[in-house]
Amino acid sequence: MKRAAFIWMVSLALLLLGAGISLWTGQTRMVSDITSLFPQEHETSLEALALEQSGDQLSRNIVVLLGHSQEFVVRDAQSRLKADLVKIDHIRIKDISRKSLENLQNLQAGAIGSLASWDDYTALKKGDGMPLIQRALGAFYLPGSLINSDQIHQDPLGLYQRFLFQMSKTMGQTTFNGEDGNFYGQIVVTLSSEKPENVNAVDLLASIDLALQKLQSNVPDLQLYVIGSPYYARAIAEISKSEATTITGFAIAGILILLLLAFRSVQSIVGAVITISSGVLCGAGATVLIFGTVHVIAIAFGSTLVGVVVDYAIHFYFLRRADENAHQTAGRIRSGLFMAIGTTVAGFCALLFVDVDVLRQIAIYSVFGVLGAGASVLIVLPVVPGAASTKNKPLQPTSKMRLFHYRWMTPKRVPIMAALAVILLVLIGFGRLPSDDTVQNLRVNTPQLSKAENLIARVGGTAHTRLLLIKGTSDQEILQREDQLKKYLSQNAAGTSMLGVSSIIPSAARQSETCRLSRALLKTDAAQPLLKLISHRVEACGVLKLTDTSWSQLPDFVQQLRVNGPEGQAHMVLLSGVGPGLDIQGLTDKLPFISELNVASHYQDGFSKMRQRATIALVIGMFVMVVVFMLTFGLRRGLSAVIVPVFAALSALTVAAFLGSGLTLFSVMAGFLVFALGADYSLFQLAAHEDDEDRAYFAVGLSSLSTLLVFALLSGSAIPVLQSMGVVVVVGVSIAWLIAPVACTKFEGESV
Amino acid sequence: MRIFTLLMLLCLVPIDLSAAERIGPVPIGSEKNISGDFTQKRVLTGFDQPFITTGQFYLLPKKGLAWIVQEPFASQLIMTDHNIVQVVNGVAAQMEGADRVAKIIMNMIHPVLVGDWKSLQQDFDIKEQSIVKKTLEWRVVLMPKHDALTATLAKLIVTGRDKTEALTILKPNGDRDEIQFSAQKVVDEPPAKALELFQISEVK
Repeated sequence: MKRAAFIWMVSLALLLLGAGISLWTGQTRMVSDITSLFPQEHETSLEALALEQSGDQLSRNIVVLLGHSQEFVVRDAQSRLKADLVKIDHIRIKDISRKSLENLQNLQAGAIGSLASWDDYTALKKGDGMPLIQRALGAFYLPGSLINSDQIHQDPLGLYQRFLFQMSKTMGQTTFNGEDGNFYGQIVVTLSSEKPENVNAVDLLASIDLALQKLQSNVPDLQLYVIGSPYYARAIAEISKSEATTITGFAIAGILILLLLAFRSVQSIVGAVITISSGVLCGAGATVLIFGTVHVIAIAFGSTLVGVVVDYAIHFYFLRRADENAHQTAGRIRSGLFMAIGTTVAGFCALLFVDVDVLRQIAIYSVFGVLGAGASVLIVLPVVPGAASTKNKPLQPTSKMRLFHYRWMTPKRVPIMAALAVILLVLIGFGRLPSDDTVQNLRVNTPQLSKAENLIARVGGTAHTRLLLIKGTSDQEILQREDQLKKYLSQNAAGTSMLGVSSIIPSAARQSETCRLSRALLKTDAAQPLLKLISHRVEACGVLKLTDTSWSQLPDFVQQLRVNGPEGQAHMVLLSGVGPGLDIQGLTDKLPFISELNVASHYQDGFSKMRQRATIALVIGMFVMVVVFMLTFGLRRGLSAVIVPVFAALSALTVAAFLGSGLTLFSVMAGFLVFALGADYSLFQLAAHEDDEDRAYFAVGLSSLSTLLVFALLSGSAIPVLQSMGVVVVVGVSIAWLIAPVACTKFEGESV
Repeated sequence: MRIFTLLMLLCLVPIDLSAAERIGPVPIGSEKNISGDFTQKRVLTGFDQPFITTGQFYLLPKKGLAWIVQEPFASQLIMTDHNIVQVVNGVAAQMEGADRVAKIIMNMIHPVLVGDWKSLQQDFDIKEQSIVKKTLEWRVVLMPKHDALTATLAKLIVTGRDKTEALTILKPNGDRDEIQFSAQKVVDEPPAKALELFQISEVK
């Protein structure tokens, strides 16, 4: 036996070593971002490709907002920050630098005279050219005019200068007034998707933070706010880490104190620590070795397994008898323990069939965790020095409470619970309970991030952005369709700003029309005072076409607006400053080649699918267990035993659905835990020998108490995921403990 | 009496010395209103004749700048902290195309006229400053600091004596604006005519 324990401990050490090497060498990496949660879509529709492209980019975007009462301070701070940020490798600034602006101007040079802002273009189309002539005349005389003698012969109306200004404005190059009267400027930074494996986002964020701190120390009264998915991911990782430490620390300390009070022996504490450590080590080790990428949520969920596996140690120590050695105790509880472990394993195995990596990781963690912990209880605990001694008797519980509890929770209640369970099963299985699949469930809102987000949404307009997809058979057709969208917006949603490829290269048709209309205007009498000032002018104007060469000269963030797929091509268009007046449905009805890309809704759909699949897996797991229990223990006793986990899990989910904002993927995952724990409580009491019933009852009581301790701590967590799981398990375990006696109450002819 | 005269002369010496060392106009304080005439000569490469504009300006620190063009055509340009409005025939139109460079050029008129170099250094570096002791004529050359400015502005040259007399704006392609200021007056209360112009721009 000692040899088996030695081999087992060595195996655990090897597992730890292997997992460590895998993490150290980067074969396995930990991720905490939202996109890693979802399976890679294999869809080839343009919408799916665009969502993948934009979702990936949004998950790497960081928005820095700079505010001050003086505009020049904001401009200066923007320049300083950009200068520091460009020195950081593997990040890109969504910006038109001087160099890229020069490149763009070189690209557009051949089409000067054909490039006009939307307002100027529509003024020309309407025949309302007089203000353009007056503006051009003023440009010769008024101060601050940006008249350029290089372009005046080709573009007497100065259309290109306005086009450039509009282009810069659309791309966020200008400062703007916030509602609070302060001036604001925005810088968007994107973490590169092609960074080497050894460069992690946390290091890049640290470098960005350093640049921000430097700026803040140089300009102390500058308002500086930063938000973005990478910051949320970091907050999740930091809070997960600190909560994992505090919650695990408090939970383990609490459990150990409970064990010490119950058993008054150090051996039981050593045994509990060995069991928990083995469970966590096997679960985490297997997950790290099996998966190339492990999400922190899987690890965070896996660590809640502490509350389940400690039950096995409690069960072992409570059922120790004074007249037998530890090996005999292990042998006696083996069947009950196997059943408990088997139930948990079967429940979590159902998750392996769901095509979602994070759920599979949770399944692997849980299956290997309970198997590892169970193995330690049967192999290692009997050889722990002192464990074999019969002098450390567990505290003998009084049987009065058990008798009262058993008399109250009689088998008569089983049919009622079964009927209720069927109703709840139907409601949950058919999605009739309130649910909440919003991305906010994954967020950790630190006061700092929340403040920044609110402010940026208020003054920066990020809360009012929409992403649209425009399909077409060619770039030119799509550019013309962008113009149709622009026209619709100017008529129906004034104030909405649009960033599309056409902001830099308008359609060839629009360029030709601009050239023709402006030349016609210059031939009118009204234009003669202007023409008198210009000795000669160039009549012809070129057209800039969107070719592969011109694409490659566009800024990165504009190039990424193009989507190509087997089904054709499309351009993404970003609308900002969208007011309540814009009816997207009306827009897409009128312009059917446009569809909305809602990244949040895309993720919400992803969560919804995952929750539904996990729910189906739970329901199937329950059905399988009902059948197994009935086959193993007979119809009546099997039903009495299985009703405990089934009813506890379903009622906990129902309570959580109505208490909180609705069922989430994570509350369903907690439902698996409740099912596993409920099955333990049921089976431990069912499998207890007649003279062990008091001990088994007390063991279940202590197990429930220890689990409640862990999950009550989780229900106070700052991480919504852990909080919702904590609530489900606290409710579920309380119900499971309350109804567990039905699993072993005697039927007619038997005595309590 | 001789002693008194001598003492008076001695007192005047430091004043004279400070004027000789001062690069910039006589300080008037940042709260004072200034009005005067201007002549702007815009020289564009490839054009034989410069484009000349004349008119008056009112600079009210609490309101902004009113630039009243009389020749070659009547027009007013009203610039406040937040926008630039062009008034033609009493009708005000906001200049939406006035980008940050245009605003910076308009914004710098006030510090140029009062010699507030510190304020100008927010967007420009002082590259040269000199004074001719005999005539007390000073000259300051400023270079733009930021990319957005260097693309459209090459250099600023400010000259003057007791008052700022000229501002030359040189552009990278060789174009330049030469603005001469004359008949400058410093007043405590803003002129009614100027206030009226700002009212029109506010209505817009």
